[in-house]
Amino acid sequence: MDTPHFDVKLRRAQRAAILDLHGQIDGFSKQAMAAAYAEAETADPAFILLNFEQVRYINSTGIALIVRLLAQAQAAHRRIIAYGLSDHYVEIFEITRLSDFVSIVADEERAIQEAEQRTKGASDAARTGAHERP
Amino acid sequence: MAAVVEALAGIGLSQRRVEQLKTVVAEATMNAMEHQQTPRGWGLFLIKRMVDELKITGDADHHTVELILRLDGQPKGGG
Repeated sequence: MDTPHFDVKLRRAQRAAILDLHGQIDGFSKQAMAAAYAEAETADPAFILLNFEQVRYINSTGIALIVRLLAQAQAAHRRIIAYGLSDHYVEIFEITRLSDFVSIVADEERAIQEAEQRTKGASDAARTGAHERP
Repeated sequence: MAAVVEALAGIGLSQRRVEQLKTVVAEATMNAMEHQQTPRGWGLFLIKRMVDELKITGDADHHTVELILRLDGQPKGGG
């Protein structure tokens, strides 16, 4: 019964910070989520990857936390890529329009690919005159 | 939520509908437990998008939230 309610661990990969989320995302996750995100930002990553593979429950307060995190990321011109969401939570991301602002892919391999493609796209755009961070 | 799944056993709801119902029941009860209030904010938004009908009735001391899913209906949210 001592299983943590929510836990998050930070990894790094090239231009991305990966947050491995475990457990339930709700109001009790607020501090841990904010601390992990702040730590992720210290290396100024272009991408924040959210790994939901070990998340078993997200409620509306958890959605609000993700929205807040998304707002922070957008303000710093970082792109959020989510993976490992169940079909049900993909649907919730669509209902709440989070999917308009967060790239949703199946797994970490595809998330890394998505980041690389966006990086390449931004490099190509820079060569042709656009100056937009991925 | 195990009680919700158990109560729904045998009535032929798709897994998607069961997951939707688990979410809306959780949202409907969360505010009642934490703040003695009916659903609001994101919770109310999710509920409205996932059930066919929502009825909230009550008085100063009691709130009743009815979540209605039609067995012959298509899931909310498309598809």
